[in-house]
Formats: sequence, structure tokens, C-alpha cells
Amino acid sequence: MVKQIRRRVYPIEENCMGCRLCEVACAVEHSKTKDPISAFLEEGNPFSLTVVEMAGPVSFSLACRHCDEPYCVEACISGALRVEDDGRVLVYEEVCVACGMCVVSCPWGAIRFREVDGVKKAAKCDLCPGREVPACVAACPNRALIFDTALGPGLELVEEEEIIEG
Amino acid sequence: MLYESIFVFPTFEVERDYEKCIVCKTCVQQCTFNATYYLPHRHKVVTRDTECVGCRRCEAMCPTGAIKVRRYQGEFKENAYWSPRDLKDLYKQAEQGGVILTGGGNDREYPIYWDHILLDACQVTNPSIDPLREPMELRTYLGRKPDKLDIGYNEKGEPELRTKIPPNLVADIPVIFAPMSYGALNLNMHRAEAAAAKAMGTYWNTGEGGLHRELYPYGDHTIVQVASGRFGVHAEYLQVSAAMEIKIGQGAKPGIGGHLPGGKVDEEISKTRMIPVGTDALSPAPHHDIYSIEDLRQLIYALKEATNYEKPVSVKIAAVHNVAAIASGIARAGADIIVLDGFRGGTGASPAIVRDYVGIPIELALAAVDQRLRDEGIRNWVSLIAAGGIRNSGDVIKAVALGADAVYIGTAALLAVGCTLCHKCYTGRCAWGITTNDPFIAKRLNPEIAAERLTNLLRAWAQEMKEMLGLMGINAIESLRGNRLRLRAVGLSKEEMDILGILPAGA
Amino acid sequence: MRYVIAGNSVAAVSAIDAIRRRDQDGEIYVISPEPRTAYCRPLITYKLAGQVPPERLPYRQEGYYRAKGVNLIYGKSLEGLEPEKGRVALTGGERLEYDRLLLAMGAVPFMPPIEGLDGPGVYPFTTMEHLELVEAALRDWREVVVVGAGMIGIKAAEALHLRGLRVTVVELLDRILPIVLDGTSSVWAQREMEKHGMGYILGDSVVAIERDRKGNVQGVSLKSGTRVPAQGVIVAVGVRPNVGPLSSSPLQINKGVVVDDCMETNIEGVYAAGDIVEAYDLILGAKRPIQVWPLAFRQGLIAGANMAGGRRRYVGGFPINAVGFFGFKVASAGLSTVEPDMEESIEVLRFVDEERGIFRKVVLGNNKVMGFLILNDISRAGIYTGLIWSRMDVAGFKEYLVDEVSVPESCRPIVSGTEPWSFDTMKTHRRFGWALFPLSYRKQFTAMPSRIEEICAFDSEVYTL
Ligand SMILES: Cc1cc2nc3c(=O)[nH]c(=O)nc-3n(C[C@H](O)[C@H](O)[C@H](O)COP(=O)(O)OP(=O)(O)OC[C@H]3O[C@@H](n4cnc5c(N)ncnc54)[C@H](O)[C@@H]3O)c2cc1C
Ligand code: SF4
Ligand code: SF4
Repeated sequence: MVKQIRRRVYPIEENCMGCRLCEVACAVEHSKTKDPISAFLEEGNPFSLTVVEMAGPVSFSLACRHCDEPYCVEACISGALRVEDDGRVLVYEEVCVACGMCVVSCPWGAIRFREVDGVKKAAKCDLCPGREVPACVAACPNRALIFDTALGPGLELVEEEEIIEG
Repeated sequence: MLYESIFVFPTFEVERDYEKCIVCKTCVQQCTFNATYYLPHRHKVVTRDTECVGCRRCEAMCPTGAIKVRRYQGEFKENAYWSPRDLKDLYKQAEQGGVILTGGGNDREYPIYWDHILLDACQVTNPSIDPLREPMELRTYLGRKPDKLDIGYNEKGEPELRTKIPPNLVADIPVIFAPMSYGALNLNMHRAEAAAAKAMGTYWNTGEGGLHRELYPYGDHTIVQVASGRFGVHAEYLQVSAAMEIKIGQGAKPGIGGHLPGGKVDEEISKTRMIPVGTDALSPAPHHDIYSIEDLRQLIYALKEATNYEKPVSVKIAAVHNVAAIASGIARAGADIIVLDGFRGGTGASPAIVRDYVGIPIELALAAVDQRLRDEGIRNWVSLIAAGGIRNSGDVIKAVALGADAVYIGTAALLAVGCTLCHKCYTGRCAWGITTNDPFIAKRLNPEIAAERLTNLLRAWAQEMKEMLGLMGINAIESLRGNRLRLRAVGLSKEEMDILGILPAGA
Repeated sequence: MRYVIAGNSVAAVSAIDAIRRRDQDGEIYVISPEPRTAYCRPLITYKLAGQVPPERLPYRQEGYYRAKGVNLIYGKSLEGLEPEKGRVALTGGERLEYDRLLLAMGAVPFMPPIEGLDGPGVYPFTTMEHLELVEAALRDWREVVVVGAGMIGIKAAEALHLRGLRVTVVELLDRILPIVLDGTSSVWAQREMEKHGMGYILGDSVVAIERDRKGNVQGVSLKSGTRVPAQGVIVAVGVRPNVGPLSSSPLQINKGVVVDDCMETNIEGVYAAGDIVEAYDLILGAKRPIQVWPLAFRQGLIAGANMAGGRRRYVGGFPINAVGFFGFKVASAGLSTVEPDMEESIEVLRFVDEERGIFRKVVLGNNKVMGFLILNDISRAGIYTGLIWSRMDVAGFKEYLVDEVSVPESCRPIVSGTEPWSFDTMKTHRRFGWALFPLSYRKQFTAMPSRIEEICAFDSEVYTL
């Protein structure tokens, strides 16, 4: 049983002040120009893959958990959602048929439709390929998001089932 | 503005560059004063300048740098006597008929004696010391020192110390976080102070609001206060502490008590202060059991008794006119440490008129007290802590040379974690999350980050202090204490120099 | 160890994955009458509509079976089970021995007793073969009747409509998507169909298919006496677990193959997963077949793990559906058809705004979410699904469960209306989402990548309608 690096972003609720800069950063990172002003004012429809959940004093930024056994991957009828070797759960946009099964299945509400050039596709956190630390984590002024690159799943329950592939 | 008094003139104006504003609404969410708001139907963020307090939180948080908070451009007719602030305060009082409240420290134009004092350096005849090559001692012992040491020999003929040394605090750097109560500050700030004090081998002070149980493990680095309201004072509180401090007065508001509005007294504060949730926490102006030095002595010894004479007791007073005589009395009453709080000292809430016009500068008070105690031959009975307006390591060095054993930093500590001196502490809405107990706003102060920043600050000051000691050819801070010969004055009158006990530059 | 898997679709594939995670050496045999790799069965309607190219249909990439070391037996079916000998019978009388057997043969379309059903021009629509037949027939068709307005029927009808055919959907019940939609929402769905010029007849059924002398379909006649002209008929009135080949075996079969919570049947070493099974329904508290893709995947995974020596429990399932046609989206899970006031123990929360096309409905039983139905903007609907999985008592935030702005959209105004919004308004604003959930719950699941249903404690209370 070879343990492997898993990468995840965890929200720290106590530190989140609800400023939503993570959303801004995410939208900018996933824009064409990667410049905040162009992304928001010119490209239009800025789209953040993380959502700051807020209710009174409680707030935290919630994006894909990159589950060990993802609900969305189970539900995807087109094979567009896949678990990568490093544990990332990704949407292969060109395969997605926008059926919405993943949207209805993800208990975190982490998958939504994004319309690009008139075509709707499922969109979710991709942990910012090309960045060492995801944009949201880097943008948080208060360390309310931490990027964990731990070994293994760290989950007692999985005692019954080692979900880490060799 | 519509529905607002026509007598409200803005102090700041917020300029938003709409070419850059991406309408992310971060500024709206961050402006706890509701000055900035969002108009959904116009998809636009705008600011009500009259509400802006100039805290600059919005500016700091704006992801595109679209915001500039600046001094209001509109002006009253020029008047060298009536300042715009006087006008606005007057209008406000004419409108509301109440005391004008403020927070922070005295921001009026008074002479800053620190800036009239210069340090000496070694040249040729006495070598300076390079702190990077040679050991440099910033450690300070705070507490009573014996009048003389009694040394004898045991049966084996070895020397041994016969004098019993009274309890002392050991600070690795002579900078201590000033008393700022839980209630005025939130728990996150207390957490940060405690962690930083521990990391730097120094102390922090609870202020008069008690110590949250979560912070008991930091007791060894905690000075606990006993103030006129006796909030949160109980046996365990005293026992976990490193030292106890009787608070008589505060530099920002000498002679008046404190008032924590009931709205700020939440569950945790109520538990810590030992008062019901939602009740006002009123600290009386005087301690109602202290009307004389003898009464003070009783309380000092009550505290010592309660803690088995194992901890030093400090007494904190505001620097007022006859501070030297009072300090002498306090030393004689059995205090181990005296804290002098100058008129620049900060506060969570005080009438502006008191903050601005009561008390005297710490530099003069400190010099006067140090001199008086020396003259009376009791300087070793107490350690002196100077508080109220210490801005940088230079102020610390000068304070030590004027006779302080250590300093308290309050405002400087708040600045380190984000305070922009908007002086709205009393509103409980501090946009930087420092002087607020609103659980939502308080989250803006991440104790981990704040502790790191405080630690960095102290580390930087320590480095600078070592440099300054070195250039004076001194290798231990204790050798500088009261060493006024290493100070010179510029631009001060003869009387001022006499009180400070320093010579003019060139002499 | 030899694993034999009958069937080659999603349940089979996830079982293969699960087996290989624990056992890299055992032999795996996959038997399937369909001579092709596992494909995305639900995509056949998209393919018919021309929305996906043929190369998108395979479920796994080329080389998958080789990489997993799977022996493929294509073109043969499982025709019988001989558990006492530990073997299965295949087409042509061949026998194959197994140590562990997985029955993942899915479901077969139900063909109702309609006169003239047999013969060309009438097809069910659940496999590639059906797709190929229909595609080949398309050039002779101008008008089509789709029998059944369920998921497959509606999707097939949409596809044929997009291919330029005149489509009429005939449904026995009084609404479209009868097992998903309720009265109001099916009216919205009908309006959507009308808008696009798609015909439908509700509350009627096809009694006969009319053919000419050559046997070509000419039309269908309905029970009401109406006659609808058509050259082709698609029959989509539901599927039944594919238990035919197992009928003479000692397997416990009800509507489907009955499995326990390890996905094992009453015969040791024989497991079943997917559309063929009758497994535990989390909401109804009884076993029944629920034929949806995500559950087939989950069951396959659990069966595979247990076949390879693991110990995993299938907590249960409930229907989860997302279906769309002409841009009209429906998301639902659990009990979604329940109408307000239908049942005393059941509470229905709704927010409906026709003008803006907002329809959200959440069904509660004893303050627990038992189902929901959302039309059009289905963003973040999964949060409700999570609440069903967790069986959490939602009394504490019930009032926020459905409301106008229950979908927090980032980087857009989180608010609507014209009132200015400042810090105070934002601070007091509550909206549905994770931040409303109890601290322990949100801590547990935002900090751990775990399965909600496996961690949450379930109560044994069972709801029945
Ligand atoms: C057109 C269509 C659209 C759908 N859309 C959705 C949707 O949007 N969302 C959703 O959740 N679900 C949808 N479903 C249902 C979903 O496809 C099924 O739940 C899922 O495919 C079940 O997988 P399975 O592995 O159990 O069996 P199946 O996919 O039914 O596969 C059965 C396998 O067994 C093989 N087999 C059959 N008989 C034998 C035998 N005797 N011996 C050996 N092998 C045999 C077959 O060749 C096939 O490989 C749709 C189904 C169809 C047909
Ligand atoms: S929307 Fe796309 S990614 Fe999501 S389940 Fe459907 S096909 Fe898969
Ligand atoms: S955040 Fe502070 S500076 Fe900005 S508008 Fe509000 S009060 Fe003024």
C-alpha cells in the first residue's frame, strides 16, 4: 500500500472574516487575462469556484474537498469527472455534457455550471494548476485557508477500505 | 446629507476609482462603520463620507487598489485659533449635548520630549561594542532589590548569600505589553499578546478585565491587574500570575473610572469579569478602599499575603503634577514596581476633554520620580516602568536612561497588529478587529498572525536597542538605567532640562 | 482468486477498480453480451441528438481493461447460475468457475403488452444497439411516438426533436416525468415542451401499433381512441432488473436480486450491484430497486471491495436525478413528488416564483430532509442531497431551507432587490448554506474528505408514505 500525496484546501472558520477575497482571487485565476480589473470589468461573468459561506458571524470559504471517494465522480454519467493520481478531482470540460448529476450530488455544493462562450460546463476547484499554492489560499489575508499536502487520507473510517492506490 | 444633521462635516473622503472598482464589495463587507455601501440596482459601491472614520481598512483590503481614503478637502475658513476639530466637536455637542468620547491616546500638539533628547556615542576614548560580535544583555529584573547584600560562609568555608532576595520579574527585553483589558480588547488580541510575551521572554498585562481561563497556561508571563472594579479578581487569578498590579490611574484619563458598556459584555467576558451578561462594567474613579498610602499598603499586603509573598506587586498611577511624592509614598507602601503612565497613554474609551488636557508627559514624570527616589535613597525598593506613548526602541533607550527599568507598550502593540489610530475604539466596531468583541469583526484578528507580528516587533526593537547600547559602549541595559549623562537636550528650556536631569547638547 | 463479473457497465467498472485496489493478482473475468467496452449508457440520447461524438461514449479510456488485467468475454451472456458448483453458465453452454461472482447485469426495458409491438420500427432505448437501430431507421422516420414520459422517454424525445422529427410523447399518468416532478413543476415542464413544439398526450396509453402490410409502422392508436401517425415508436415505460437468466437459481429474488448491506446475495460469494439489485432505500427504510447511475457506481465499489476481502457497508441509497431538456433543468433526490398537505407527517417547504422561473421544494419528515425538487437554477442543489445523506435535524435552520436567494452565488451580488447593502446588512444576512449547519457538522466535513453518510449516525426510524 503506497501512500501518496493528497492535496487539499481546508477552511479555518475561526479566521475567516468574510471578505471574499478568495472568491476574487479564484475568479481572477480562472479568467483569461488573470488580471483582476480585466477579468471583472472586461471579460464579464467572473466565476469563482470557491464560495464563502456566510451566516451571521460564521463564515468560511468552501470549495471542492477533493474527497477520497467523490460523490461527483460516482454520479458523472459521462466520465468527465476523474480522480487524478495526486488525489485531485478534476472535470474534463470537453467531455462534460452538462447533465447536472454532479451538481445534484456534491454535498458541499462545490460544483456549479459555468458558461464559457455560450456553452455550459460543470466547473469546480482545480487547485490552480500552475500555481504552487492555490490562488484562494495565497489571497487570504487572514490565513483562513490552508493548503495541505499531507500524506494519505488521515481518516479513521477508511480502516475498512484503503482507498489509496498503489 | 439627506436625513442627516446639516452640522455634520466629514473628516475624511473616500475616493474610489471606478475604472478600477470591480464591485467585489469587499470594502462594503469590511467597513464596520457602514460608511461604504452597495447599491444593487446600480451595481455600484459608494461611500458616505460623513460616516468614514479614516480607519483605511477598505483601502487596505481593496484587491485592485481602487480606494484612497484622504483628509477631507473641503475646508472651513482658515483660522489659526479654531481648528476644524474644535468646530466639529462643538457642532456635535450642540447637537447631542453629551460628552465627546474618544479612544486611543492624546493626539494634540504638545512637545514630545523624546524628540528633544539625543543619545551619546563612543568615539576614540571609549570603544563602542559590536552587538553582533559580543554578548549584549537586555535582561531586566523588576522588583525590589535589597539595600545591601549579606554574605557569610558556611561550615565548609564556602561563601553564601544570606540576604533573602525579594521576588522579581525577569524580562529578557525591557518591553512589556501594557494593560489593556479583555473587554476593551478581544480575546484574540489577548491570545496574541500572551503568545508573543512567552516567545520573547517578557510579560503582558491583563488590564482590569480579568484573565480568560484559556490563557492560564501563559500565567508565568502574565501580570494581572486589580483595579477599582475588581473585575475577574479571585484567588486563582492571582495565583496563576507572574505579578500583580494595582491600577490606580491611567494616563489617558487620570482620576476617572472606566465604563464597559453592557452590550460588550458577552458570555465569555461575563465569565471572565464575573459579572452578569449584558450589564455595564463600571470601574469607580477611586478604589473605594484606598484613600491614603496606608490603605494602599493594606491592599498591597493583602495581595502579597494571598500569594504567599512569592510575587511582586506593582502599582500603576497616571503621571500627574505631584507624581514624585506619590511615587515615594507608593514605594514606602511596599510596592515592588511602580508604573508611571504618561498623558499620551491610550485608552479604550475616555472623554476627549480628559484625554487631551489632563496629566503630564511621561518623560518629565519619569525623571522626576527617579530623581526623587534616588534622593530619598529608596530607588532600589522599586522598579519603574514607564508607559504612555513609547513609539520606538529609541524611546525605550531614552526612557531607560531617564531612569526606567522597563517600558509598557500599548498603542505600539496595537499598531503592530493593524491599528491605524482612527481612535474609534470606544465604538466597539474596530474595523481591524482589535478593540471589538463582535465575534464577526474580532475574527479579523488572527491571533497567530498577530502574535507573529508582535514577536517581530519586539525582536526588531531588541536588535536596535543592542545597537544603541553598543554604540554607547554599554553591554547591559541595566548599566544604562538612570545614566542621564548619556543624554543631551536640544531645544529645551533650562527648567525642563533640570527636571529631566540632562545637559544641553554641546555641554 | 478468480472474480467473475457478469455485466460491463458502471457497476462492473467500479467493482473492478475496487477489487484492484486490494488485490492486484486475482484473475478478473468480465462477461458481457455487448461486444464493446463499458460506455456511458445515459449518453446514448445525447449521441442521438448529435450532442456528443461517438468517441465520447466509452466510460473508460482505451487500455483500461488491460491496465487492470481484466479478461474480457464479449458477446456472451450469463445464462444460469450453478452456485453449488461455483460456476456460471454462459451462452453456448460454456461454464466458467468463480470464487467470487458479481451480478451487474443491469436492467432490461419493460415492454408492455401492446398489440403489434413486435416487428421493425418499434424500439426500446437503453443500449448502444438500440441507438444504432434507431439511428439507422431515422432516415425513414418523420413522425415518432415516444411511449412513456420518464427520464429516458423525455431525453429520447428531445433528441429526436432536435434531429428534426415530429415527436409525440404519450404518458399514461397525468404528468411529465411522473416519478420526479409534482403537479406544479410538471406544468412548467409541459410549457417548456410546448414552447419548443413538442407534442405530448397525458393520461392516455398506446393500445396498438398500426402497421401496413409490409409490417412498417403507420401510427399508434390510443386507449382514448385517438390515432397518432408515426413511422417509428420508442418504448420507454421503465426498466426491470435483469433477473431473467437467474430465475432458476436459488438466489433470493424479489423485484430485483436482494442484497444485504455488503452487497452480497443470499448465496455466499455471489454479489450483486447496480440496476439489477434490490438494496436498502435510506429514506423509505426498505429494500427496493433504485435504478440510477450513482448508486450503481457506489454499489459496485462496495461489492468489489467486499469481494476482495474488505469490509464495507452500503449505507443505503435514494434516487438522485438531474435531467434537462431544451435548457430546462430539473434536479431532484429522494421523495420529490410529494405535494403539500399530501401526508400529515410530511412537511413541504416551497418557494415558487413563476415569473422568474424559481422553483424550489424541500420535503421534510420529522425535520429531516427526505427529498427535494429544484427547477432551472440547480446550482448547489447537492447541499440538500448532503442533508438527506446525513439525516440531520434541520429544525434549527428550517426557515432558510428554501428561499429566494438560497443559492449563494459568488462574485455576484449575494443579494437582490434595491435596498443598499452595508456591513450591518451583510452581517445580519442569513442564507442557506453550510454556514448555517451546526458547528460539529461543518467542522467534521469541511475538515475531512469523508463520506457524510458513513460518518453521520443514523437513527433507525423509518418513514413510510
Ligand atoms: C438512456 C438512459 C439514460 C439514463 N440517464 C440517467 C441519468 O441521467 N442519470 C442516472 O442516474 N441514471 C441514468 N440512467 C440509468 C443508468 O444508466 C443506470 O442506472 C446504470 O447504467 C446502471 O448500471 P449497471 O452497471 O447496473 O447496469 P447497466 O448499465 O444496465 O449495464 C448492464 C450490463 O450488463 C450486461 N448484461 C446484460 N445482460 C447480461 C447477461 N445475461 N450476462 C452478462 N452481462 C449482461 C450489459 O451488456 C451491460 O454491460 C439512464 C439509463 C438510460 C438507458
Ligand atoms: S455535468 Fe458534466 S461533469 Fe457533471 S456529471 Fe454531468 S457530465 Fe459529469
Ligand atoms: S473602512 Fe474605514 S476608511 Fe474605509 S470608508 Fe469605512 S470608515 Fe472609512
